[in-house]
Amino acid sequence: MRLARFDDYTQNTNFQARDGFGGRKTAYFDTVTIRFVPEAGARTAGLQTGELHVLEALAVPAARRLREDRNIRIYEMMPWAFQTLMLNHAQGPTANLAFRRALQAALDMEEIMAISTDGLFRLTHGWQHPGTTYFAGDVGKELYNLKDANRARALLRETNYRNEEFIILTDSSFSNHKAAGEVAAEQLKAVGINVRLNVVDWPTAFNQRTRREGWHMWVLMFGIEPYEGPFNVVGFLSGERPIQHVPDPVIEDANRRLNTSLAEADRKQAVADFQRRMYDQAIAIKCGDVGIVQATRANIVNYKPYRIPRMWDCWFA
Amino acid sequence: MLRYTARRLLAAIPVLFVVSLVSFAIIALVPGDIASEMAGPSATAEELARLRAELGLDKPILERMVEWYGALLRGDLGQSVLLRRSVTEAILERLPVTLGLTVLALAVAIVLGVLAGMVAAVRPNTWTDQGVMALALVGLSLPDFWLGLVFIWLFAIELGWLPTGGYVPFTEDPLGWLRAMAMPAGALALTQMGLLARMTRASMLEVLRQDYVRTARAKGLPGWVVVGRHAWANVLVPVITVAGVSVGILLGGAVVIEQVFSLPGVGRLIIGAIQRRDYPVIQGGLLLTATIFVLVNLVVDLLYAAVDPRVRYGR
Repeated sequence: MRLARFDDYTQNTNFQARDGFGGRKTAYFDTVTIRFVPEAGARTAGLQTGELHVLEALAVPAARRLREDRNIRIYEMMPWAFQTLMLNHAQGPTANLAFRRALQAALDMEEIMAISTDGLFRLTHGWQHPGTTYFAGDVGKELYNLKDANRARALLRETNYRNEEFIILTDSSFSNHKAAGEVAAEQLKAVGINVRLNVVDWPTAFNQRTRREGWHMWVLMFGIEPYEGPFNVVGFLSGERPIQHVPDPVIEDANRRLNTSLAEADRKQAVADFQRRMYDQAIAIKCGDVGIVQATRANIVNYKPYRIPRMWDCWFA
Repeated sequence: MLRYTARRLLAAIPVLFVVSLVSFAIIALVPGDIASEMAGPSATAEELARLRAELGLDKPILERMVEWYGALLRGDLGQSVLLRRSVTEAILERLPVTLGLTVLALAVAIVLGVLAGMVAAVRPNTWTDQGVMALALVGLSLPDFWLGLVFIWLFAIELGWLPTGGYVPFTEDPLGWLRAMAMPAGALALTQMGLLARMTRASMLEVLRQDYVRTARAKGLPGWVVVGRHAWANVLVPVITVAGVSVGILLGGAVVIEQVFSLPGVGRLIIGAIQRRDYPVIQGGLLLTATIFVLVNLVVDLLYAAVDPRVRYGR
């Protein structure tokens, strides 16, 4: 795909420089060619040989290897997405609050994130990113990353868990999903849960999760940057058919207040209430934040990493 | 010969019908559809249902199947949901890439494989024979996608001779096309080269033990005439058989190699369609692949008659 500069473009002079996807944009390149290179190794090779100037995503191990290469500039972007474990409240053991709390207690997020992201992660409990408008501070933090096997086993005894099958649904289309599912499965087996890991492709996993049966935990990574804020996250877990399949009244109320309150303070409170409920009722489990590595040839000047590469306001040296 | 060809072409129709039927049924039974992919993870059930209705995915499978076959009889493979264009157009646009890759890989495999097999056969049980056969075994054992990555490292990164990937149309720049195709075709060809070398060696050794070869040698004919003129013709039949099978294997291998070298061919189109559940493209792609395979088998059968006077069709 080749994009040519639109010479009649009028800059937004209300800004000093680029701002997100908007702002004051200057196109220095005559054309930008977008090449779809599905194989990660071939992408890296293309950057090394200079055939490609910018990579939207570079594998973390390759980034470590190329860090000393003077012809390449590496840009780590954090955060890029959430890593989460969605739970099905409609049936099976996850319909039971104590069982969901046992899951919450058993998991070691550092291990899950380190393995599933090749080390590019951040341990954060927030259902919004730190530093953003709706970040709810320490709400729920005391229930994040407990990695307490004894507490998990005690909660399992409380639920009278009788070795029912617990299905983790994940996909091989996104390597993070598969690895996070595998690590979580091993950790849950270690506390005595009869886990079956169901690895399918993305469209199959996506379709399966819309059903009330056939899964209990679904591994999902999703990004909210740079524009969605809390609306997507809270909306995803509320409404007539929330991801957990059973609407929660407190989250419904938080979603309503988030979408109708005129005062920012009220909307922030709604998000804080949502986050408190997420941890208190173990509605779904947040593992951490995932980063991404972007890279350019060294002769690309003034490139700033972003969720999707922006090819304006940068130029050849 | 013409009657035989026509009969074989007619016989291909039920084969292609069964292929399309089985692929339609399997694809329809796999969970997930393109509506889920298009709607994204945060779509509600109502939004999904609305999108499915818009795309016609809510219709019963039998109705969809009848519609698809009806269009097929009119030469219409349908519309790609993802590309928003005719499947036939999308396939025809990418077909030269896949066919070019397959033909180049086949040519390299046949020329080098047969040559290696003949060299090994005329010097049986020598270091040359054992060396060539060991190399053929290595070629047979290595997966083509791995070879592709090794080629990228060696020829693109280390030596800087060839591009890491991408495609240049032959009509725009024949040399650029050859540079872009050299590594993918080489990676694809190596496995088949090994197979052809081993097959040629075995056939040639058998032929060289025949009485007519002994007679030719007894007449005092030079070795290259005995091998190149008298023995060679009888080695061709098994080589053609293997080459015909190789076309199918190369077409299958092209799917993976197109991914590795980011070639915009039919294989990559089908992979993308499978990942997104773009049913019309999957159906059209599979039907095309099956058609090519059937036609190649027909050509192989016709070539038998061309190289072996004992084989006559249509009598």
